[in-house]
Amino acid sequence: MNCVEFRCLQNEYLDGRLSNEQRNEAEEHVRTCSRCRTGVELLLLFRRSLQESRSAAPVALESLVMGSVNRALQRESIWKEWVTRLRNWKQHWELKFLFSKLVAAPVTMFFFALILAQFSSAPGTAWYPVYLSRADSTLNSDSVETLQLSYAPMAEFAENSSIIPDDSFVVLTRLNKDGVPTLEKILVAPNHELLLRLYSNRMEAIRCRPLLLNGNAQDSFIIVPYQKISVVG
Amino acid sequence: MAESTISTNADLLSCYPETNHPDDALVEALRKGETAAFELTFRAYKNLVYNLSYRILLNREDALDVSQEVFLTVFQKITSFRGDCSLKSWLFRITFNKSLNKRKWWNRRGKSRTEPLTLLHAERIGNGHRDRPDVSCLSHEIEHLVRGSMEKLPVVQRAAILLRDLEGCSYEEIAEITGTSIGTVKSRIARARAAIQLDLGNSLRGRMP
Repeated sequence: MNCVEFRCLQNEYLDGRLSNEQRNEAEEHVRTCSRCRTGVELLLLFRRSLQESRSAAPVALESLVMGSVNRALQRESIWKEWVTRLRNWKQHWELKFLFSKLVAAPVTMFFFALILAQFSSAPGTAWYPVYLSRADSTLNSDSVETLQLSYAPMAEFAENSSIIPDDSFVVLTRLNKDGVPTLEKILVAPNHELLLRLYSNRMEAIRCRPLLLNGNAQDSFIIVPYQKISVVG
Repeated sequence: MAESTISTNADLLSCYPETNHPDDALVEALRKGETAAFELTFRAYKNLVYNLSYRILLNREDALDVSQEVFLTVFQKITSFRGDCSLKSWLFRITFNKSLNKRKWWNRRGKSRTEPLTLLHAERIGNGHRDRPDVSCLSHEIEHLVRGSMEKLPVVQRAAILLRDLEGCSYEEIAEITGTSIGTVKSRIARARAAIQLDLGNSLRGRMP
């Protein structure tokens, strides 16, 4: 082993990480080469000096550590106490509000039932909008009630333009699968398409009450005079 | 210098302190919050922790602060100790990180907290050479030089060489403690030793005929 090779393995040699063969070669080289031996001896001197100058921890460290640990324990106990208090407080208030919860639940359910009943009433008792103009137009519900329109069962309506008066148009409504009357068709007198388009662009909506026959809603038609349509704008 | 000092691996590695404690049982007791276990841990490792932080920071007050913080951390965070390394390695890792943080704290304030060389502490463990004043004097002299060399090293190299030469940690343990790869550890130790060899050699040549 020459000096260059030894310097490459010097740290492994000092840390005892060489194989027996390599260590023997390194030791042989250290014995013969004064320069490498000095280098190794310096590092061993450094190591030995570090070991010998190892100092004991100051006595004050124990009191400092134990003091800080005790303070940490105290803080922890205070924290635990607050958590317990908070838990107790929560349980207390939960009990206090249990009664009000028991009361509030049925009352809320009653009001929900009322609202649902309002919306889910049987056909024939509520007004259903039949849009004649743009689908996104606003409903004008105030004027609908006063229309006083005549309904007739669909069966009586012959799809014949001769029954359509000149001053009116006809709205055909059919019950859908949910029993809700929906607009099927609008019929106008001949040569009145322009007039209807003019109105339909300006009117908001018309609501049709489904015709009741023996208490059941059914398909119907309605004759709507142009004059009675609620017109906005 | 005697030739026999570099004879075998056993001789090279015989100087490290014995710190083989039944760590598993100790950790288990610490997790249960037993104060006696904590006191045992403190007594077993206080010197190791203090010496490492003192050698990294080269300041007794800071080393005292760091040691206190380390043991408080051990007490509070023992539940987060996963047990994938020894308790000693875990303690060294905390010490290393806290010492580096302390150093950064002082560096941010633009201050150096290194003690002057005249302030060498007197509380020695083991061989103090009290009966041999001449040996003791030489030992002090060398200690001054060693400390001077240590001061010149970058802190990460200093920590690596301390963990290896003072605490006797393996390269794998040092890598684990410092959070680096084994290659980095080897390189840091090699550079530190090269610098120490050069500096110590120059100093000794200057002082001794």
